[in-house]
Amino acid sequence: MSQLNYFGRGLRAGLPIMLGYIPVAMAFGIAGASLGLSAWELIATSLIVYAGAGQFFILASLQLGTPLVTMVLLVTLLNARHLLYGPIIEKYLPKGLKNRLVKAFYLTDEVFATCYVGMGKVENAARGSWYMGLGILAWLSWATGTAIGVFAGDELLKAFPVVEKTLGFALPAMFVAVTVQSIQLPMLKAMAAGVVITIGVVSLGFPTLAILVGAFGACLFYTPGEDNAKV
Amino acid sequence: MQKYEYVIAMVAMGVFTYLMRALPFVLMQRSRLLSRLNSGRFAIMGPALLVSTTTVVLYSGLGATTSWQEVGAYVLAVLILIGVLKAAKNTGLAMLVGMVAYGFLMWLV
Repeated sequence: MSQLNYFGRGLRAGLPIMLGYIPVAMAFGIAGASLGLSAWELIATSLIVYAGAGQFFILASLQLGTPLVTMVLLVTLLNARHLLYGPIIEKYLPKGLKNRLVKAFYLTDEVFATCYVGMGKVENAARGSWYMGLGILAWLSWATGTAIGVFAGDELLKAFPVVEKTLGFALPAMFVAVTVQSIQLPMLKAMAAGVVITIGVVSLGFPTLAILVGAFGACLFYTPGEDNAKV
Repeated sequence: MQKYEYVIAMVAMGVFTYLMRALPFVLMQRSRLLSRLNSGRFAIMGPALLVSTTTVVLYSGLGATTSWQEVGAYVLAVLILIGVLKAAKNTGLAMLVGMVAYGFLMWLV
């Protein structure tokens, strides 16, 4: 099988992400346009920053008149969870720092989740192309969704309100699906503890902190060496 | 705010976001500390991150509901999705059925 075929398999693996990204990015485009940002500013933000929660935080900060330096620092903090993704999936990625630095650009929450569940099943020689297919589709879906949101989103969503709600369920659906596939029986106690910790912190109004604290909390409740049976 | 100020901030946020994703690959070449994220207690860091992220996503989703019927529709759609995933072992199909179920249930309520 050629690298192009592996790239195509990566594209197929990215379809669930595309399904989730387009409506959310449309919402970003619509909200950004309503704040007075131009089409090119919004699309460029999606292409360059490429961070879902971070981009919505940018809009909230602009609305609140947050100083730009503070906004940059807060968005960086919000994305701090990404620091953990590379070390976790590096065993699947082809060797070579230069190669990995290119791939790092595409490493969003959803790409990480899909890689964690799916990349181990891809042959070693195919993983680079597979990852690029997945990553590029996700990136372009995000930018395309933003453009649709800027140019046509408002009318589209007003015309089909049920579709809007349905599409809004796509990202939660994707996360539930990949998470269920990643959990093994011996992890259950630790994961339950992680859920409780996460809910505790997120209910205080700190979603990013909740993700990090919940994950580390789950690890502390885990007894290593027993992860065999899948749930 | 001047237009050029937003452009500078946007590029800075792009650079810092990229660094959050790329720096670990550089640091792992110099230190073994990050590589330990895959061993011992931290062997479950991947699934643990997915679980905590999913918890936050579901918490936000449920927080956005406006009635108990909508909460029920949301929870039921998640359960249907998990059921289809267990039965069919197909992420795309499970997502699709879950979304259709959610849309139908929201239309009902």
